[in-house]
Amino acid sequence: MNENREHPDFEVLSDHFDGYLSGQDAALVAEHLAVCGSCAATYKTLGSLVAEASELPKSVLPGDDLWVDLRTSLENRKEIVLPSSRSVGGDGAGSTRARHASRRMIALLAVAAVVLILLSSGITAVVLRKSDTGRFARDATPTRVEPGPTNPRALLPAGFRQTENEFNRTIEELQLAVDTQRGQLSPETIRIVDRSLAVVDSAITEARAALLADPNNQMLIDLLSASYQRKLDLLRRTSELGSRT
Amino acid sequence: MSTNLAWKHSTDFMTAVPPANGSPERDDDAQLIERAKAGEVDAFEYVYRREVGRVYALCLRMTADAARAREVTQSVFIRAWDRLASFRGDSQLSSWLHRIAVNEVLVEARSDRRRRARVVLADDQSDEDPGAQVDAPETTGITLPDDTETRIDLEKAISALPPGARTVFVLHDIEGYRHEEISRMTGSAEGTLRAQLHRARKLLMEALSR
Repeated sequence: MNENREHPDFEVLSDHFDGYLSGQDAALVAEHLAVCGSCAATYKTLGSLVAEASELPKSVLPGDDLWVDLRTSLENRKEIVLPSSRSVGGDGAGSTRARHASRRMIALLAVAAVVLILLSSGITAVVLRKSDTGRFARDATPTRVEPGPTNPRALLPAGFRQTENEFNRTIEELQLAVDTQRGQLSPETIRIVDRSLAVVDSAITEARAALLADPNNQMLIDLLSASYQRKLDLLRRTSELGSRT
Repeated sequence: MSTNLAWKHSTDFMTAVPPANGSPERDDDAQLIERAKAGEVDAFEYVYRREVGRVYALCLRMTADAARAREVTQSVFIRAWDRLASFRGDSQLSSWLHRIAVNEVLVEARSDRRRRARVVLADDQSDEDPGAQVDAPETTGITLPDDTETRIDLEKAISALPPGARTVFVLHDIEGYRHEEISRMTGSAEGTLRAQLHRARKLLMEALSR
């Protein structure tokens, strides 16, 4: 290869720099670089660019201290951390114990459903009371509270948004796991789980709508967090049940 | 994009904040993790103080948006807190966090592209990065007060790259990941990644030669 031959594309030079060319191709490019000032200059500039990039600082501090908000989120999430699946069953003690555990799990799910219904009722009561209070305090016009998911999340308290995002991400992952395990669960279990999920979803929707209408109400934040927590618990336990059966 | 951000290259972050309990200076990663796993937020704060600079640098360079970088950085540490139980110490804590950071940025970018895709854009972009919004360096909210002019120009030019090319350049040429590792993280073929890297390098060389 000499200067009269076709210049290699930039992509070829870049691949050559990274060592991706075969021996023969690499030799041809090296030969060309030795005689072509233009390509050699490009290659040198490429080398300088990569060298400078690799020397850029690996640590850059954010302008604001993120820890305060982060700590709040973590403190809120302490409740979310659930026992891992390792701590529930799985000790190889045999099918009888596993069956008993499954029955206990179904019973637990049934109890959870009742708790969720009570929780939902409580939230409804709070929502109605808040709605009434707000209505009479402002004017006599009825206030329609839109359900949460269609409203801009900016209306939620800033400190809770991050927490809710994390709840939703974890729920999404667990929901996916549960969906893939449905075939391994009994119809009775699926029915209880679905009914419980419907109840807790309703509770979340109501609490969220109430919080959007009254963003500074800590009790509503707690109620909404508790509802998300219930959903997480339910999905996690169902997932554990599915993985054992 | 509106937040002004100074790139403070942290050389003293190890001494920034002493955790509340114990003698964390002597704690190694395993001890810190065990304390954090037990719910000790102060131990996790030490991890945060030690690693936030590296995590934020990655997030900032990959998103080219100071506000988003801060959000993603917070998500990274929340994710790490949630997954502490899965950290077995096979890799270094910093590497583990770095992987989480890369994943979070990529997940956030995918979500952002989906959000943008739902919006009908009048001026459709012909670039192969459909969600690419190449911001002029002066609008990224990034100010670079120190180091050499070349370095400043390079940071600005990187922030103006199309997202796909920027991601590969940051991971390959700055963070030192190999194409096969980036392929595993992004789900993109190595050939595609190499093409993105060539494109990024070419665009940067052009930008820096002006």
